[in-house]
Amino acid sequence: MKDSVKVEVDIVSDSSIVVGQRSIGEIILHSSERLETENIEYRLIKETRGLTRTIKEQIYGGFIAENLTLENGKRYVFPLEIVNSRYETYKGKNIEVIVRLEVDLRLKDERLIDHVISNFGFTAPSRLLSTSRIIQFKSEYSKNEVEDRSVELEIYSMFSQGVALIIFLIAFGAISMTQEVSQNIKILFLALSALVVIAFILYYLIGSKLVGLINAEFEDREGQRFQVGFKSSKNWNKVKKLGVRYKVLEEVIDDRGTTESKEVYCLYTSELKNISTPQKHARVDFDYPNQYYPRIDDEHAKIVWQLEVEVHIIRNLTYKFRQQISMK
Amino acid sequence: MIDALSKGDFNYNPFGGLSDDESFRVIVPNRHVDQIIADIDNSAKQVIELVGKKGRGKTTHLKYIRSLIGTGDLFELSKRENFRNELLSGPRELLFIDSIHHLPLLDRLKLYKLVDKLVITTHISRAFEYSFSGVKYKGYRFGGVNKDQLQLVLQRRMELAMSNTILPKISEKDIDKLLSIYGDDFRSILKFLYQKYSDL
Repeated sequence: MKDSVKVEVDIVSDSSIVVGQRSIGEIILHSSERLETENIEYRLIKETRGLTRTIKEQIYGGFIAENLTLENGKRYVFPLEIVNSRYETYKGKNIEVIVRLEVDLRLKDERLIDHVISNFGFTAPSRLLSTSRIIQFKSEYSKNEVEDRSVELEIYSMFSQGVALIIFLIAFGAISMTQEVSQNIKILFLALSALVVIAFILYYLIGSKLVGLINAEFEDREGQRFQVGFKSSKNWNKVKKLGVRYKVLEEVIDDRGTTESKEVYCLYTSELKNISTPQKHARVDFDYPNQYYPRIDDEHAKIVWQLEVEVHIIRNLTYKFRQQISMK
Repeated sequence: MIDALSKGDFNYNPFGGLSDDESFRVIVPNRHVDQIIADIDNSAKQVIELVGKKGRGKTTHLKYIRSLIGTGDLFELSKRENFRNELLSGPRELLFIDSIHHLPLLDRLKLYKLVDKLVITTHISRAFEYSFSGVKYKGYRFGGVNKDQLQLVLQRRMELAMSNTILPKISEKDIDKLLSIYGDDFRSILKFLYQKYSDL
């Protein structure tokens, strides 16, 4: 904002405001020159920023004055009321959520305004004088708490390994068929392919026979810890051990420009809990992390709680499962 | 590197993604911009392609040029949405398309014929496709960043995000080091700085 106009924002609050709570304060304007304004407004804007495109969303707004002329040296005080009913602020590894209170003065006449990039002498004619302040918001509860629910676990390793192998085989097959390779190599390749496919089918069949479908039940324990209970459609006579842990992940999808990539950063990993010779039912308790992680579930940025289960059966065969944990 | 930075200096990490209006405030325009605008103003039907590897500023410049021209629809194509039906719905005078590779080849060939002035971003030149469609084209390569440009754009980003009045400066030595590691891959430079700042 041009030096001739100073805007102060006072909010009756300590360091951060509770989400959903109405906050009051004052907007104070000083001007060192006479300025005719068409209107003065304020807006609360949530910004999701990070290694992705910035998404801005207006979450609250208010009107201050219309057709007001700011006289040189005079101080103007206006009441301010803001409510942010949804978003906590967050500073993570690759994502941050900030909330900005912006005050906009729309002038009657266009004038040269020094923009933020003032050191480079960047000025442009405009009728809008704008200034902003970052405000911290915290959740009323600010605690990690799982949602009590039961889910069916999804095998990930078998599927991803299978797809990767099939893609590799198709690619290798296509390349080798177009090259002048000897008949023996072609036969060897076909035999290897058949072996891989058979191994993959066997792995899947053994898994369905010995591990079966697993149902996981999440239950919060008085906000201090949570319990995961496992039930299987099979008896687990051949299951030697379950290894269970959970992770809190920060996921960012960066689709800026002509390519898309995903950045995953692990904010927290619980200890690995082993359950030896589990029977048809098994239970395991976890403490919540000491740090609170807010709920972020935007199109480009998420905080995901993920359960990871390894089922070890005879002859060192392992089946891995992953499941997103729903948080309150 | 960037030892001068501290978290208290900024309202947010200055090296992350920006909104369009913020990008236009920090952009150091590529030398081709004026010529591209002249080509768009020119009456001849043609495709104008902004070619370059990932992270060289093609998309930012496409949006910047669109904002300077002030007319013509801009579509950002992605894996999830390629706007096929909307793009092929009828002839247009001017159209901006980011990431045209998300449109199938046959649709691209139809589109070249449908639009008078088509401005696109692409990793590789599609000269063969334009010739096949019988449409003229002009290609502009995006890439290459020098020390001054890099320092200027980083400094502008920091000014935009600053909360203190004293602006930290990234030294020339740091700029040289960034250029020697990442070359002209501006996106990778920003990612490195983003994570460096995040770890402070």
